[in-house]
Amino acid sequence: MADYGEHYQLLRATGTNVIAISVDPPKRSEALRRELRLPFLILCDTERLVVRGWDIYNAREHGGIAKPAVFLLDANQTVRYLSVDSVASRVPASEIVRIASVVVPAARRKIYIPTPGDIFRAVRASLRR
Amino acid sequence: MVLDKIPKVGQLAPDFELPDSSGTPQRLSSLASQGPVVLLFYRGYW
Repeated sequence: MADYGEHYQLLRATGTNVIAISVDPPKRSEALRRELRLPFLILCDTERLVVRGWDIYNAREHGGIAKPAVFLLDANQTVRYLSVDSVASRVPASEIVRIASVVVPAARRKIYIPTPGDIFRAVRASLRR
Repeated sequence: MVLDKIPKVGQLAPDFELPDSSGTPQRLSSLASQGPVVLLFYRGYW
């Protein structure tokens, strides 16, 4: 998750947004978002409807959780790339940046204009390295 | 949601609505309409 937070600006530069999803309730998700200073939304699938429906449900651990998975959707909501892992590993964010810059048709990208907050976060992230 | 398979490359991702970490409902179709989206499923914080 932190990896994607650090690569968020590079993904936004391709016109791509990031949305995280887990089965954690909102309060816990917000605590994680603040702890890792994640600049993107976290959605809360507490009923396991999406993870079950999308067949990325790991029923064996912690009462049922999501498998680590990454989907890249274009602006028409069509899947352009997917990676589902069975354990804890996940495709690195840098690889998703590379894929997004190639796979997402330029015609479907929206022009991204960074906000002052985006610039501040990018500078802060670069200073922490 | 009536689905039993993972959405494949080239297929339309099924729509859904979930609350975000502030409790605000968010619909995938609305978010995707603003541009490409990376959906990042993670195991959870426990």
